Amino acid sequence: MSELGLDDRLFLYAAGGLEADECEAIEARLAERDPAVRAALERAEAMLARLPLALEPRLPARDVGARLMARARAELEARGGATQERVGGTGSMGSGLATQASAGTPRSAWSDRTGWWAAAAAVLLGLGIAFGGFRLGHRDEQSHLALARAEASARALATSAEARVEELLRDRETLESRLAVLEDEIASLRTRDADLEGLEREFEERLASERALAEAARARAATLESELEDLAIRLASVARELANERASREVLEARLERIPALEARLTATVRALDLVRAPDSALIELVAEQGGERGSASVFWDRGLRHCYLHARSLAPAAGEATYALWVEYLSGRRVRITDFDFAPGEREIDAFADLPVGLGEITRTFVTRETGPDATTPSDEIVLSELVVEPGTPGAAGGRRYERRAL
Amino acid sequence: MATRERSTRTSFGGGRDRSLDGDLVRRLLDSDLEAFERVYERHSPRVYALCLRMLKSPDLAEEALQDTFWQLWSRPDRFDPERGALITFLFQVARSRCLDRLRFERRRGGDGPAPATSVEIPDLVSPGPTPFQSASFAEDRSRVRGALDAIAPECRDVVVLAYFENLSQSEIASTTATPLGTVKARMRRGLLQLRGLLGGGGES
Repeated sequence: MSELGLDDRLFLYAAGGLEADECEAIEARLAERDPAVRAALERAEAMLARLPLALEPRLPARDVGARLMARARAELEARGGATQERVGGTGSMGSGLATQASAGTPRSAWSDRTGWWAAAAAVLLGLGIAFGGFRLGHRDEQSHLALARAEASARALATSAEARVEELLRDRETLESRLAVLEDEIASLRTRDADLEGLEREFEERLASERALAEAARARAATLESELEDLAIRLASVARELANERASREVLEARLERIPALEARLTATVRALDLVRAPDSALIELVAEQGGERGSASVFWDRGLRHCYLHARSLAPAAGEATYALWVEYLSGRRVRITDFDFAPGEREIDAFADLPVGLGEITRTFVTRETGPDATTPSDEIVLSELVVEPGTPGAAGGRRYERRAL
Repeated sequence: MATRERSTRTSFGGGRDRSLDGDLVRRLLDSDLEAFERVYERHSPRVYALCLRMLKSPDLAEEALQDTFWQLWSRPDRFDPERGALITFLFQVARSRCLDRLRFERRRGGDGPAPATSVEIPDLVSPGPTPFQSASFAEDRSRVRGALDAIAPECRDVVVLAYFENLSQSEIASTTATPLGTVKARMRRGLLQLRGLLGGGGES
């Protein structure tokens, strides 16, 4: 049935072709008071109401109509608003029905027949008494008087019974009117009851739906809370890992920063080693020239290739624009500035490489001065380091400093 | 011709009859007893036929007939000529009364009258309508009969049992010893065919 549209189901509903549960579903829709649904149902009912046209018409018993008309007439009279002309009726059936109705009974034959039978019984009783008296007597006047009283009593009884019947009929009409009103009220209450049931069902369905949604939301919230806790744990772990990685990165970056210096140092070391291992190399040790000065230097000469390697130690920074300069003095007396170097604060050792000029003859002396600028072509008087010359037999000469010229 | 066909398909009772009914009901609103007699005379045979068909007892049918017309007399304003013909309104009221009566009988413990699948019923006690009435009823009757005859007999039986006997599908299945699914299918097919044949668009 679910594949049927609403119009079809309304049609089946109007025809009485649905099961109880299907009827309830339709009535729930009707309780929504949708005018379109109501109109569709009325269309279906109106169309189905044509089905009885197929029946062979049947005439009801004639007194049925008569009773109905009498009832209507009585109801009109009770209302007091009908004209005598209307009550009398002029139709072909009117006179016949009205005639029957005046002596007949409306709707149910029982109650009015009872009344008329009561009246007839009273009359018969009176007549019977009169007849009995007549048979027993007319002997004397007293008997006649008794018969007359009995007849009068019977007539009074019959009149009273007729009045009572009329009263009962009026009561019945009143009760039937009240019954009709009550039936209308019952129908209205049933409709309202159906509406309320529909609303109750709708409310219960919505309540169930909301409860299901709330339950689902609660379960979802619990799941999310659990997931949130897991995420918090994972987040803390990731934060720790990140901190570790950052620390590692800082260490690596520090190491990376040291790489150029280490590479330079390695290059210098390699170059120095090459120079030291050269077959025609020589070493000159330089020591502090002035008293109180600190520092020393080693100068390697590769006389074949004319390379020079200086390794200075423990000198103070030259300060300001000044710098240290390595000088060589040739046998001709000429002095040549080979290279400059300086110490950074806290630096203890430094390496410098230089090439020696060619064709200037034999080197007789090597020394280091502190120069005020890079452009001086003659050494200043401030000699910082001089060759250590060991002159046998003159220890402590030159103010306690010993100079030794070693053969290169 | 086309206009005539359309007219006969969508209007029951004919325009003149509808107009006459409308006039009578307007007079009923003024408590015109003569109009009430005329309405009863015109429509009681067909309403009684429906009551007799559903209740299968002349006494019960007459009672339902009286209730039906009494309701019209008491509340003629409940009939809306815009929604259909007076006879279909009376049929609806009568069917409702008969269903109430059937339900009452069932609650009282009786099995009720035995269902009949035929639209016709045997002549119980009442005579047929007069020749004049028969002639005026013939057109409408033949039209609806034609629609019912156009439906397969097994479908028609199910529809008749549902509408005239107020049997649910499961009750029909039990009564006719037919599977419920078959009954449902026949019911659906029969009613939908009937709707197509009768127009489905109402009478107005």
